[in-house]
Amino acid sequence: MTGLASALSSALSGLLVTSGQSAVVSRNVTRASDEDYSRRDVGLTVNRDGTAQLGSYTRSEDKTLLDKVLTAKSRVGASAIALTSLEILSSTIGDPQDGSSIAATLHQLQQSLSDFHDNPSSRIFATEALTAARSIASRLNAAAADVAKVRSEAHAEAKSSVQKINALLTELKPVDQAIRSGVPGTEAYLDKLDQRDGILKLLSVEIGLRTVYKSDGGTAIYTDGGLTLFDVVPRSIEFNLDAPIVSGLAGPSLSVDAVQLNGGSPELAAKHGRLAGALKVRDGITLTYEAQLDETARSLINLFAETDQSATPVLAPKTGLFKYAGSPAVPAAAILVPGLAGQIHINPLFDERSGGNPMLLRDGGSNGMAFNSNPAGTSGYQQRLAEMTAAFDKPSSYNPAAQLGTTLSIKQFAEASASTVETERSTASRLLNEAQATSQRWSEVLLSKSGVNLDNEMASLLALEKSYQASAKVMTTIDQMFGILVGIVN
Amino acid sequence: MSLYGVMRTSTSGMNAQSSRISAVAENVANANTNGYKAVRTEFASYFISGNVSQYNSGYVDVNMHRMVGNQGTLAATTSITDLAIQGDGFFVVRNSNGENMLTRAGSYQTNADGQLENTAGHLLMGYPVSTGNGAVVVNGFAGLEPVTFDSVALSAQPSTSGLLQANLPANATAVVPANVPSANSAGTEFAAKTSMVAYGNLGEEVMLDVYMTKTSPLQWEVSVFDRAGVGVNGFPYATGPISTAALSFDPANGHLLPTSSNSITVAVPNGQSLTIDLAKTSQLAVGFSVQDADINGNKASAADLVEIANDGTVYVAFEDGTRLPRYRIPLATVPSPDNLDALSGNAFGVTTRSGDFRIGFSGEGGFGSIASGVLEQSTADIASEFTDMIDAQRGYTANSKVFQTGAELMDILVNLKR
Amino acid sequence: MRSVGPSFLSFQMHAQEATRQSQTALAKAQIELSTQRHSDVSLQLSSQTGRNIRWHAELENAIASIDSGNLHQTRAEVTQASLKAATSLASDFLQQLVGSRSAENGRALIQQQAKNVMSSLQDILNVDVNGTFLFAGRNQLQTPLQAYSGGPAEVQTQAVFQLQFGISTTDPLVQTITAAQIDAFLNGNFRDIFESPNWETTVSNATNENVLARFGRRESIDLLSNVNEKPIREFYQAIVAVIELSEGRLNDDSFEKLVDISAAKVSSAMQGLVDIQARVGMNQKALQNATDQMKSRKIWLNDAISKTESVDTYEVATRINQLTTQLEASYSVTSRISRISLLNYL
Repeated sequence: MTGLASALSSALSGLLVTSGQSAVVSRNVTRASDEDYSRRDVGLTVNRDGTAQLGSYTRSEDKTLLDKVLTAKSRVGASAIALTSLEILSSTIGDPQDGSSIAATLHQLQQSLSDFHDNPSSRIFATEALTAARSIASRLNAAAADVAKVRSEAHAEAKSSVQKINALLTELKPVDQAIRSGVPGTEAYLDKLDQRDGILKLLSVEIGLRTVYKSDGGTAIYTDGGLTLFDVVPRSIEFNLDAPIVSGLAGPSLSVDAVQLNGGSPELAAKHGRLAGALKVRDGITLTYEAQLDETARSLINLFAETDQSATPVLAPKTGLFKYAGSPAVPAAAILVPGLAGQIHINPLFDERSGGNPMLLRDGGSNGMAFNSNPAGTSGYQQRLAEMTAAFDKPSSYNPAAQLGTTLSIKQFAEASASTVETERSTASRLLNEAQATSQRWSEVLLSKSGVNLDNEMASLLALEKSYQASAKVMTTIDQMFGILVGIVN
Repeated sequence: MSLYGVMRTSTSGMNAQSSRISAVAENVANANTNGYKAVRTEFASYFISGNVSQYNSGYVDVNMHRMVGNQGTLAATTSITDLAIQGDGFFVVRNSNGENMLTRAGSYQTNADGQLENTAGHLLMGYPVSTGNGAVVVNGFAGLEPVTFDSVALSAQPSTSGLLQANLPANATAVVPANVPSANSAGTEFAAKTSMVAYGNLGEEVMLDVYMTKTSPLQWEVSVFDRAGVGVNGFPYATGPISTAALSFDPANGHLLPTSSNSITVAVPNGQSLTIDLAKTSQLAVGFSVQDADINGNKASAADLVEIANDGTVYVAFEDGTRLPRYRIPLATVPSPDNLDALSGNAFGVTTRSGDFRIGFSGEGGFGSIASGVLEQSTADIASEFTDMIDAQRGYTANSKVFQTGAELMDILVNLKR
Repeated sequence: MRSVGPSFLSFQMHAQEATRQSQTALAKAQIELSTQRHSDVSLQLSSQTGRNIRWHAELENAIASIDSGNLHQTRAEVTQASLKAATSLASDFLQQLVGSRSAENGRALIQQQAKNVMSSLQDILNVDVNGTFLFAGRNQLQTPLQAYSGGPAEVQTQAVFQLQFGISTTDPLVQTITAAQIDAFLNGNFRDIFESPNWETTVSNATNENVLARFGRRESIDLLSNVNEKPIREFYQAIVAVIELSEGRLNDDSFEKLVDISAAKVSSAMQGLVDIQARVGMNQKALQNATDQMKSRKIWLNDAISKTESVDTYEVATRINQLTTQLEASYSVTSRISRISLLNYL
């Protein structure tokens, strides 16, 4: 086609194309700092008549990289919550130098018993030993409360995570529908892809994902354990939100896509993400640490228990310095009593503050004369103190649920417990650092592929400006030619 | 009588030029009519043979040519129902009398009946995809129907076929027969589970729970349950499995054995028999993962037009995201497009001179391609029309001068007898 | 037009992250420099945390043990001093006894002297440290020796004398008691008063066992003595014999017998006291050894803790320099790169 009119429409198409491209550049520039935005590009198609037309829009994307970013984000999500919880647990141990850990307090109690032993008639030393005992009881109570708090916080985290996952999946549904029904290459379609990637990134923080991109453009989402989260419609994650957390027992179970996840089928559950991390904290580390605290408390109660001192003992042993909910019955060795660490307290009969007599520590007998080892009331009586001091170093039996071995001394047990928590913490800290570094790295790589480089955009804009000027110049020229033509007619 | 001849000849010249002006007028008037094909004026000379000693002037004959084969400039629009053909071919449209015509004008809009109607009120014709692409009658309009998007009527498609491609974890532990999902007992164990959405006869969503259970090394049971019957703790379901299949794998490569069943047929509750293809299932020593899962069918919902592809396929989308081809728009062509009969509304009728029409699809040999979101503009170019007009005006003036001269000579002749 | 350079956001993210990491590391290093320990000791120790808790506890116990060792040492020294004083008292008394035989008014003198000795001995053995009586055995809170004059021992002695001879000690008929009779009395009924169990009811409030000192939680050391020990009983017995029988009514032979027997007892007591001193001295030595061990243990523990928890200050200082440089470089690169934008040249 030749002629002025077709020249005019060619020039016009040039203008349209240029302004369309500028719109894309301007969108790239304005959203340069939006992490979920992928750089846009628009293609050109040339018609048979030589006019140009805006073609399909393309989006700089890399699904493999996106998957890597998603996996890394899940790992960060899981390790972050594990580390936060372990840091709270670790605060029950503190700096070894401070001597604020339960293990250190045990050492202090033993030392003050030893001092009392050397000064058996001294009420001051007795009171000191009692102070050490009180501090260990309150340490155990505080640690038990911390563990309970960590557990309930982890439960709340899991709760909020589940709510967020469900909300995100619901949000994803219309986006996925729009993608499946949409026309690739249109701007609306690309916006939906951006939206989908944004949702996937948020979702991956909550739960480990595996995505399957289907031929119709739809996305199916599976947990990294293989359960279906989303395929056409969201699958529900159900959680008994208000069920209480009970010491010694795993928390309320979770159901994903109608599969119950209560630790029975771990390979089906998600391995990473905030939800998986929170559940692991709630039913893993904390349960073990709780058992360790309970066993420490139980062992302590046993250590200070009083026995029948008659020549032929007939009475069962009874709790002495330390009491708990089941007092005066003594807890059986190696049997876990959930919640014991939270119940342990000083027998008021020993406590001067409540009118008790700390010298009972030397003689026994808080449960009656039959339990008194020093009926004569000898002021220098040392036997019982010597036995109790030595008992701190004597192996006894512990429940395997505490995972610290079954035969060791109470001091070794408490030390091993501290070591376990710190080992877990340093592992979690290392994992988090690694995961963060990986996530950071992949995000950067993804962004450098899909993100916007302002210099490039500015350069594009320069080129577009020139071509707009040229097209406009052509149009004014054609206009002048028309003027001439019309002038001739006149 | 050569003087009369002069006057007659110049009159024919003036007539011819005025026809040309008329053509220019029509072209200029239609300079912005989409799909309009410009008319070109061609002159033919006629001679009167006779006495050699005396010359009798002939006259000029006018031929009007409509340049139907010329490609108009394409202009972008924002409506996907604005269609243009690049290259040869015409859309087939139907007027209110039910007559089929050809046109290049592609500005269609959905009318009250959900049909695509152009500015002249003609309806765009297409083949419904359900009748298949093979049913095209090459030289007739049979099988064509107006492209209609009935956005009021709901349509649903029950599921009939599907695909599930997954890897089953080879190192899973085998489950004793009493505890496999198909036994539907409270102590059920399984290695993996996924769920898929199928559609019943009325387009209702039916969630199918698919359990994969290792029964012995290399032997797996696939059982499908209706989610509606799920128990409080998963198992037991209210009713047993809808369907169960046994898969056996090749120890050499973890693929299905040729002898193993490779699909599972599920009677969808309130629906059709659905066959899910399991042929690509593998059993390798990694965790469970679904590589692809798909079931056809869609929910009952109104369909919206979403795309007209370059090959003329018209896609519709349902509320649930399903996207389906609904029509295919054909193109018609004739051996001599310039000889088509121009009808009102930018339409053309087939004439014996144009040759018989042939129907095919966009992109096929001898046919152009359909573009969506563009319009073919008028082929009339104002500049050339103006040039023609000036030329015609000069020609007309020249002819009138000749006529005037002839008339003056005639006066002289008449005044001879005084 | 493909994007070739790093995206705007990826660069920003990288710069932010690098700066943040440097800042965190710098903050940590500064803490380490000021405390000279790792910024998070437990994290650093990881699975060794339990061990270090034990080391810290042991270190504190070692310090406490060294302190309590000093206390025990004090007690032992006081015991030694008392024993020494008792020995020298016995030695003086022995001389006085021997002297009394020839002296003119020897009998009256020796009785008075014996009373003085008795009072001194009671003062010496009823010594206390911080309210606990060293020679009381386990009955730390009671004076080990009851007062003789007017006490049960005096009553008992006079009762036994009455029983043996049918007269009181002040009776003139005492003159008729023969030396052999005195011998039989002193080595018979009289002696029994100072043997268990009479001794514990009449004179002593002490138990036979002493309060032990636990040292380093492993060994119990006996650093004390008590009044129930034989030499003290003998000494006491000799003094009582002299007090009760030397009032001048005994005939010369009998008096000499009394002096001889008493002198023999005192001399045996002296020997015994020296033995006790030797025993306590040996245990003192053991305590000293244990304390020394504890001191070297303390040094070792300090060293071990420092090795596992401390940082090399030089290394930290270098690290801080490096991090500061890096951070400054990072800031300047960030600001410079952000200025290198096409925007500034358009």
